[in-house]
Amino acid sequence: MPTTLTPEQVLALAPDPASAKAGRSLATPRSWISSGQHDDAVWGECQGSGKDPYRTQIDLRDLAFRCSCPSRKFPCKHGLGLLLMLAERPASIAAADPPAWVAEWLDSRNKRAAQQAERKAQAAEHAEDPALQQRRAQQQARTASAREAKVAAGLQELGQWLRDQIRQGLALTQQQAPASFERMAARMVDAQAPGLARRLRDAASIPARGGNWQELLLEQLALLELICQGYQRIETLSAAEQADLRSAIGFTLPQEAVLAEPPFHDQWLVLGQQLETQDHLRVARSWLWGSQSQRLALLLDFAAGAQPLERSVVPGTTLAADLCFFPSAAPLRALIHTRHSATPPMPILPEQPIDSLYQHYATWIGQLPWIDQIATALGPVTLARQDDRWLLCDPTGKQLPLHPQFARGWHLLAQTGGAPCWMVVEWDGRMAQPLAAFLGTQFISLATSGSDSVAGGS
Amino acid sequence: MSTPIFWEELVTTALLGTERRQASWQHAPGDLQPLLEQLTAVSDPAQRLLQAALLTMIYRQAGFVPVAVQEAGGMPKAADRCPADTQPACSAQAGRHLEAMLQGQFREVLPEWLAALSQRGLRVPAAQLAGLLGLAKQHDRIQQWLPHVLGERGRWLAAQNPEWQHLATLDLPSDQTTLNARWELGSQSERVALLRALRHAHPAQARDLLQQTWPTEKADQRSEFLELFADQLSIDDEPWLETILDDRSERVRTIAQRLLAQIPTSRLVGRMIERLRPLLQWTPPEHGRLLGLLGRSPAKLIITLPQGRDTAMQRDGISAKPRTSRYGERAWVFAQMLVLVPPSVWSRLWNAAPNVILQAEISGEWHDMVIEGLFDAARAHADQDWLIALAEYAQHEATPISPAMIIASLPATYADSYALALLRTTTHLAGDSPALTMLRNLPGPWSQQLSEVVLRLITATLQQGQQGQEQRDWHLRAALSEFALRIPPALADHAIRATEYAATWPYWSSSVEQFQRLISFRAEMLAALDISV
Repeated sequence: MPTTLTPEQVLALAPDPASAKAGRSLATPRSWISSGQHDDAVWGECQGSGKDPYRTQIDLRDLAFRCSCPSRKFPCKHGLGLLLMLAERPASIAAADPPAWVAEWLDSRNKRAAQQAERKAQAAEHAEDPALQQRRAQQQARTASAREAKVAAGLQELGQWLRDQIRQGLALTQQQAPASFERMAARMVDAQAPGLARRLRDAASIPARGGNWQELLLEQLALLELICQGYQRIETLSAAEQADLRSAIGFTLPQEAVLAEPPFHDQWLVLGQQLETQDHLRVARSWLWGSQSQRLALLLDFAAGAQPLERSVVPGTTLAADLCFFPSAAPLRALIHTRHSATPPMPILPEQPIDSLYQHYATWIGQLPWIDQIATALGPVTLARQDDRWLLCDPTGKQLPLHPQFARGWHLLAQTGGAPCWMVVEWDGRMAQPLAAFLGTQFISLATSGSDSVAGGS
Repeated sequence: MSTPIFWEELVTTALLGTERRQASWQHAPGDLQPLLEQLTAVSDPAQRLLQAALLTMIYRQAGFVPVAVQEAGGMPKAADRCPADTQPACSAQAGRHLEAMLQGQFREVLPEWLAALSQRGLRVPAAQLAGLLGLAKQHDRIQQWLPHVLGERGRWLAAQNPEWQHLATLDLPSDQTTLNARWELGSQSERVALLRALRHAHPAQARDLLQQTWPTEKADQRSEFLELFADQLSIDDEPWLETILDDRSERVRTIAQRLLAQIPTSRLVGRMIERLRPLLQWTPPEHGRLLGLLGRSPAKLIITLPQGRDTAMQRDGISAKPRTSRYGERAWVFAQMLVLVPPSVWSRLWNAAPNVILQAEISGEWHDMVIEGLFDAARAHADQDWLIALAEYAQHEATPISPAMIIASLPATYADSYALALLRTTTHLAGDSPALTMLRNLPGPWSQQLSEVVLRLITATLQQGQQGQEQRDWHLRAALSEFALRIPPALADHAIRATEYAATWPYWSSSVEQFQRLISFRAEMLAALDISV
């Protein structure tokens, strides 16, 4: 098994608490009619409510799940249960040669991987063919320039709208929200600028929030203005800045283009993972930290509707991998180019006082003012409580208030016993959302999704 | 020169609109001045404001400095370190069983798990402490084990959460001042916990404590506190309880009446005996002259109903309005009084064993009322001799009480063998059979012997549906989940074999699966408590 997972890490893969619970109840040998494992895979047959037992198999090399059950959850409870059983009681699953139904699947996966590699190689060859390249380039250029024109028109309109808001005053904006934002967002979707549509929709709820809504709204409008202005003179910007702008507007880069960037090798620690829903899309943000480069990387996985959300990295584990970063003035988002089989040892996290969070963030927004959030592991820190809110304290006496909805403080305190730990927080410039904690080599998941949702105190 | 003032200026201008107000740049920070000057080239004031806001916002965010604890007035302090635990934690696998129960799975087994953990001197692992304390706050019935299984870490954790503080310790303050302070200042749940613990350890002291504040407590609180006095109840409580019969609240009076009735030497019980004695006329059995067998005549009990309820009876909790249509008002008054008298009083008074009294000829239409009254009295006073006599009596045909009614009140070991004896003639546990009802009323844990018999009967019952249609029986289906908690976990494999038969039948599969899962979970969880990894 390439990675030795802890039960907690397995449960963190669950798409929702119900699946985690169901998976837990299946993690007992009694639930399985047969089961087996070898270096690359684990499999089992589970009697469900149907006539034939469900066949569950997991490719351990990249944590791919497959199950014959009709569940649309991914991974399903059978997959979770089997993997959990492997993590908890490896001895209860006998080492064996895979039966035909497992061997065929592994075989087809190997073939597919080989085919993909071949196709990639072929694509590279084709790229050599100048005639084909030219034809394709012409076609692409036509489509691209049509889109650029649409976006330019859309942004012009958005710029006008933004200035109108400021001219008439945000007090009026407040009265017209959220409908006026929704209209503008729809306009941005038509203009093929979905990134801006998302920003507008996020901002639409600000006026109803009360408190310092004027400030928050002004900030969001100012950022949108920056994007509009930037796009008007995009040719004058560096390639990296252009990429950032285009990404903010919603131009996507094909995976191949990203994977063509120079790969960056390191031994990565998966600091934590956050699940979120954006525009009917489920998004998993996984934060990686390079133990040699001290570099931060963000992996995003998306899934629409009931589609499975594949998450191939597990919080709290390490992996040796080559990442390709999306081109940016402040490269952060990345794709895994190659994953190496060796599992690096758990790195020693560097000391990071609370000040360093603000310093990091200052550097990031200096490069990329509209960055959504960064994550970092602060430590050594201890947890304190004031007025029903959790705070982090560091040895220099600085403190950081945690998100008011952070509900796992007591759980964390129970595990640290007041001892200093390293805390992984996502920071959006205002709120620190804890994702996980490292207590020595022990990983404690604090994310709000997955298995951990005990009511009452934790 | 101050960012907040300049930022405020920009926000205010944006709020009112640049048509109405021009932002003054007078207070712009020096660092920003050169950049802001470049904006003078922007002709549209709205656009200029947006761009100035952008610069200022980034300037502010990048320059943000966290507050040091000292600057915030020395508060808050990080929690002190928890002292090391000397008590060993249970195995990681046992911790996962607890986690499953905390998540809501097999939660009905949690008390059994906690009892087993406490019995082995183990503590709850750190990862489950917060979940357990959170759950215990809502569920009284698991609180009793907490002080034994929380360990240093758990006590340390609970001490920091005001809602959990009282869960961690049963320790009573040794000095009166602390005790009074906790009693007077604690929340209602803390006060209840304190009084419960004190009542258990020092019954008289608990009474003194409650008496001090009694006149100022609200009726709800009075009744909640008074309920706790059932523990360690004695004649020493009687004088005070007697005064509570005149309490303003009916609920409080009712509790006092019930408590006094449980003190055999209380004045209330004495008054009941005096009221009933003239109404009960006992004639002992006569032994026949021939061999003491023939011509033997049973005892006779002649009942006279009381005239009605007087105010003294009312004070003692006797109501005039029958709760069931079976009784008229006078019979109802009689029945209520009979329940309040320990049945041993009659045995002594008439010098007759319980079974002799139960076999007596009872006058008029009052036979069943008297037997049921004696039964209720025996249960209320936990009179074992009488209960056992009643259990024997209940086995006869056409008696007003049945084994199913009485079995839950019997002493555990006796109940087990009583059930076994009754099951000897039972062939299956179908639906409304008395045997099934009796078993459902018999609390666990069951003996191995009884459990084996029950499992055999379950198999036999399920197999009746073997040919053709399957057996449908929601009584038995519901009973399965109850029995899974009572059968010793050592019989888990046996229990699974006994029900395997019906595991694939649509009507039975889910309840059989639940039965099997529950009992194997119990077996696994107890096994995991005995491993050390």
